[in-house]
Amino acid sequence: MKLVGFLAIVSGLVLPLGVLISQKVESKQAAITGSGDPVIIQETAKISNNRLTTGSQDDLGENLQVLAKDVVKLRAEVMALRTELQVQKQRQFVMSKTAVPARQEAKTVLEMHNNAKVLAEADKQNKEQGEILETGFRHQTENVKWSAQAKNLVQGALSKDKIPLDNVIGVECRSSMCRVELTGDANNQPASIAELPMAVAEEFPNIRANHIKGSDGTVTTILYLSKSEFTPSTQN
Amino acid sequence: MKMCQPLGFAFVTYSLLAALFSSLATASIHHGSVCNSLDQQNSKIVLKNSKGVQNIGNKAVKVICPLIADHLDATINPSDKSGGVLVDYRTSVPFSTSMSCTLYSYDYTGEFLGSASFTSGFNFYITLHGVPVGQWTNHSVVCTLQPLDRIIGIESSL
Repeated sequence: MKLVGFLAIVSGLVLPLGVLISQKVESKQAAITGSGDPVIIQETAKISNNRLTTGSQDDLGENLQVLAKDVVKLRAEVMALRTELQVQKQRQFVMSKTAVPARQEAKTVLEMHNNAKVLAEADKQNKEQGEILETGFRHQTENVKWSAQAKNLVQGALSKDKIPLDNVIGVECRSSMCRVELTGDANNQPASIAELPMAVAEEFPNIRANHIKGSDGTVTTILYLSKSEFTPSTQN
Repeated sequence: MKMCQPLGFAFVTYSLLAALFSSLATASIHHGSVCNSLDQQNSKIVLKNSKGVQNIGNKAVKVICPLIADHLDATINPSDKSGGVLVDYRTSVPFSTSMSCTLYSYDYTGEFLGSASFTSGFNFYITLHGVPVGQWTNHSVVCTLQPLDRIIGIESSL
């Protein structure tokens, strides 16, 4: 009787103590293997619980593989987002560099060409340029010998651009400049000049053109050929 | 003393050119191979390679070199505002006076606006300036290459 009583007391004390100890060990394992990750802690707890029931190591391996795949997917998505962000930044940079300057009144070059105000201003500047060139030429006195030779040279050069004699209104030379007045072609287009500058390059390295548009649609081209460079001092 | 005079002249010339180009707008450099034969029949004797463009024939040829210019900051209409171009070249005979070039300026309708020429280039480069430059002007350089003459590049501040 005394022995049975002793055994009952020991079992009543030792068994609960054993259960308590095993529970603490499990939770400690869960804390270590989880490293703070709630999913893994849950999974580990599940596995621990299962171990108490089934003990499957394969489930743990499968779950970890799933996690690894998710991490790879997430990393790829982050890389794609970074690339997209860079592309957007580059687009913004290019747009800012090619933006039309604020002072332009029209949005495109074509609109500027058709803008009456812009064209009127261009015509005004053309006219002022022409007046400066004309004044510079008229201020020169004539060197008879040189002007005759220069005139021959210029008339020969006009043929290089196949300009008909009928289109040549006049060729006048002074002491270091010549003035050539030409009508437009049959379509009222300005005289086409391409070969003449090279033909007279040695005598007249500097040429300026002034195209005057008449109210009747006709166009007159005046070429100023000069031995020296066109500067405000020589033009006046 | 006599030896110093050409050196002094070269120094002064270089200084003036440096001052001219340093005061101009943004510059671009065109490789000589952008040039093409002006006449179709001479295209076979105009050789283009990484060293530029060269006349490999036995007669003079003209080449035309297009220039790309950024005029966004220019005034709308061509005026006295002028740009500059420098043509780097080599002749078959050093210091020969055979190189000549003309710089052209046209507006967007194809109307001729002006030109500037330099003949008798003798010092491995030719400078051209004094043509009208506006927001809508286009430009090109036409040079006459004697046999074996080569254009290396064209520096443009138009």
